Amino acid sequence: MALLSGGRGHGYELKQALNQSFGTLLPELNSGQIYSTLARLERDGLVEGESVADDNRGKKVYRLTDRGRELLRNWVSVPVPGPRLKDEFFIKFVVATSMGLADPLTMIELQRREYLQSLRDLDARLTTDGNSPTTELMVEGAVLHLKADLGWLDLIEERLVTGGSMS
Amino acid sequence: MTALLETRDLAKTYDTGGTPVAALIGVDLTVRRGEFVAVMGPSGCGKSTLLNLVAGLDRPSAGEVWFDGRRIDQLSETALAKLRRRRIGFVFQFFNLLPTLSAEANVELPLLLTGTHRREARRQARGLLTDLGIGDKGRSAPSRLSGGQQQRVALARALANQPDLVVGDEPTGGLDSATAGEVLGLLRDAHGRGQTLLLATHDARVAAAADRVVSLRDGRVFDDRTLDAARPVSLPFDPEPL
Amino acid sequence: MFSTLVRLAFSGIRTRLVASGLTVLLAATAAATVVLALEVGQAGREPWQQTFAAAHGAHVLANVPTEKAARALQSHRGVVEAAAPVPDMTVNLQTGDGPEPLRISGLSGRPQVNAPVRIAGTATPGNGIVLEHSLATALNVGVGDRLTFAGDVGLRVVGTAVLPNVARYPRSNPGVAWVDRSTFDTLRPHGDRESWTVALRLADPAAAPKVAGSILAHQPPGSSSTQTWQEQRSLALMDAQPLQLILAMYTVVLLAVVFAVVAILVGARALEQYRQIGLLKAVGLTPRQVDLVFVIESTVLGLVAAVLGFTAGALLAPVLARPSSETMIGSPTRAADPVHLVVAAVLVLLVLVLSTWLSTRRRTRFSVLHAIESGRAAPPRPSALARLVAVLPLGVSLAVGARTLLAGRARALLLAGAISLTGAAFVFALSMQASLDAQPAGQVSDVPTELPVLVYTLDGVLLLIAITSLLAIALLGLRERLRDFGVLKTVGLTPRQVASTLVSPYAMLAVVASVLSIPVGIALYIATYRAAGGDGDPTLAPWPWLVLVPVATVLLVIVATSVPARMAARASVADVLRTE
Repeated sequence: MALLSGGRGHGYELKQALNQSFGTLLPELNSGQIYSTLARLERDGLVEGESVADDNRGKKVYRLTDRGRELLRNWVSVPVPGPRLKDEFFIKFVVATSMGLADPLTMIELQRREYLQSLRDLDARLTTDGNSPTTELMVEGAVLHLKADLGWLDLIEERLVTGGSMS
Repeated sequence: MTALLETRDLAKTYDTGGTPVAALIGVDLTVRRGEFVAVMGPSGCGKSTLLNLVAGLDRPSAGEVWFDGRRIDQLSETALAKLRRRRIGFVFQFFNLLPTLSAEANVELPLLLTGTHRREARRQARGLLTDLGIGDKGRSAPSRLSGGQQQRVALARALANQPDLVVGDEPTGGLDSATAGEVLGLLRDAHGRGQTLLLATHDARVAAAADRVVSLRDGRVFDDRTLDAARPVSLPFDPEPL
Repeated sequence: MFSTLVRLAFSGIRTRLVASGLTVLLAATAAATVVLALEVGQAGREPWQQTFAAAHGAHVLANVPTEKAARALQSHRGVVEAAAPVPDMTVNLQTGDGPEPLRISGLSGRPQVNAPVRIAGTATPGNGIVLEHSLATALNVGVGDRLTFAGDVGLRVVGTAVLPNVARYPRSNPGVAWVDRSTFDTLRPHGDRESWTVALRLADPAAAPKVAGSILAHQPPGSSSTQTWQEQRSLALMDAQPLQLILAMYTVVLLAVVFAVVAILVGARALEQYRQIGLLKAVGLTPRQVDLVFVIESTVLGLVAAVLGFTAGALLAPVLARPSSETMIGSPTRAADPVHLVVAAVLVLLVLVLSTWLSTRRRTRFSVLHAIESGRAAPPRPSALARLVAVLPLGVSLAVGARTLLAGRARALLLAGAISLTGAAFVFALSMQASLDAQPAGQVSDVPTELPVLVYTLDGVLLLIAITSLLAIALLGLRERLRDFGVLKTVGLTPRQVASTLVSPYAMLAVVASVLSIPVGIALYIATYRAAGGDGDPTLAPWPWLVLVPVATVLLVIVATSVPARMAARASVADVLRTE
């Protein structure tokens, strides 16, 4: 829908634009998937298609409806929710240590290793040439998240030492 | 090949106000030539103590420190000073430049101590500062430099005599994130040229840049593992520039 | 608000007890010399008064050419009592070093007014001679000795006495002695410059100057002289004059040293408390109020010092005045004039407050934010002199140390001034000693004997103060730079090199300052000499002696600063460099 906000277009044009702008973000969508998505959107009243008169293959030109435009606007303006309370490591940690499956300190240390290694990987990526500014921002974001996670590991370890077992 | 630095069962206990505090308990650490070793751990784990002992700035309560095949923990203050000036460079968290000397003069100092002629020392100092990106700040007093610039001067001072080992106690600790990155870059450059580094740090990026990360906890080595070479990172998408 | 400032001031004094103590010691010494200078003049008043009373002294003494003229004055207007006129003349006394002229008076019986007051033996000459007491002491002659006068007239000394109008010999020259009239007639052929003295007492003693004036007016001009009792008193007390001059000079020197040392101490404190001052300002104190806290501190210390100095001066003044009261009876009293306390307090406070204010003004005028953020004092900018040092081929330790000391330009200059003045005081003493030594042997010195003792004592005190101050300042500097010493050790300076970075700049400073002290000391000596009425050029100390002053100064400075230097070298690096 965002792509259509720029104007109207054929299904084929949309497929091209998708590939171009978002590359490997999504798995390669085939034409069928694009057209079925468009059909669904049309059914829900968010886009409308017009048959092009001189085209004998029945290609439609799609554009956004008002309702579609409004939905798009909401999607853009409402912020992404903040707290991310679900963390894979934390779940694993709580489960494993409460069940006595692993030593907490060792788990933390292993995870720390992994985070550090990931940092190293990301740093290396940053220093390679040919990064677009967007890529850099993305990687820096990941670095900052990693640093925060490492800080959290320190905190868990600290509480562990002072507070006794995790319950 | 013998290690450049080796500590054997190193221990240090402080006697502050009656109650003895064990800062280090039996630390065995080896650093080989050309290695970049990071020491991490919670505050109070003994990182600074370890570094001070390694550089001969403090004497251990027990254990041995060997530097390039020679035992140094028993040497006199004078001998340690002479060792330091030629072979060990130290970088501090809060720079510790001499405030009454210009940036250049701070860097010249170790050179003058090893007998370099005054004019030659100045030339080398200027060269070092230029290499580190602050060639135009040579004449400035430290108080007029930003944190990052001061740390660069401190690094230049540490590198002046091409020491065998550079020891750093939280070298990026006193800097903001962007400047810390710059200084880290300089340290990596030095490492790339073959400089052996031993850095104590909280900064994960510094640790991530190291070949080996040693974790200290309560005065003991908890973990000592080499990091692998950087693995390739696959990005979810490669967007057009915004 | 003011009470808060006062509280801050007192807490400041308490937390810096050593520096405060040093300041009080310095200022008290200066105050003591001021008070001494003022008191010493006064301490003789009481004894003179007693002497005057005992002698039944003359309100006006008139010296005229003839007995007739003298008799005529007995009935002058305003005179209630008069003694019989007394003849006097100058006769040579034969001594081992040649003839010594004495002024002899011929008494017939005990004079009614202005009679000699007995000190030893008898005051009645009889067949012998009574000497004035200080003359007898100077000639080393006692009761029972025989003296031979011109014409081989031999006389036995039967006693010594004093008169209120005769000041101490040899200040009062020629010496005075009394014989009875018949002995006088015997000596007459060998004497000259005969005249007659008549002692008068007035109905209104305060009118003495007027009466004296009218007496002179009625005599042929130049033939006579008069002396009022006021003049007698000041003549007697004039002995204190050289003492007062010396004390005044030392007061000036001490006040200058006080100024310098206090400026350094306060400046160093302001530097140390840079951060605290910044916080005070952030809380809402204006720069002026911050200055005021320091000024209040100095005022309190100054008042304490003034009181201490006054007490010391008042107690010591009689001791100093004792020798000069040889011509009087009774011992010198404690004059303890409260006015002197005020004078001392004003001088000391002026110097202290000015020094403090000037010193803090520079330090408290900075950005609050800078102070809090830096947590450490803004280091001084390298001066031109420091840059010069950078160029000179000096050893590493010397270069580092010198640049540090010279970067604090004000402190270096003040310290140099203090060292210079102390050295100058010693040059002064040496020159004085040389002048005394240069006098021909046997000639009784015009300089009272206690003067050199006073000068050496004051020099000793000054030296003690200087060394103490130097030590305190060096220790202060050590505390400020402890971190730097740690850094130097890290970079690779040996303990000895670290120590020398502290000692060598002070030594360098001492060399320059002490060389300067020679011309300054000589100038001081010449100025004092002229003020004391000396004529011609005074003898100065010979070069070998003078060279001793800089050498000794430098050595002392090196020894004094070696103490903190050793502490610096021993400081554990780990302690010093512990990250904050």
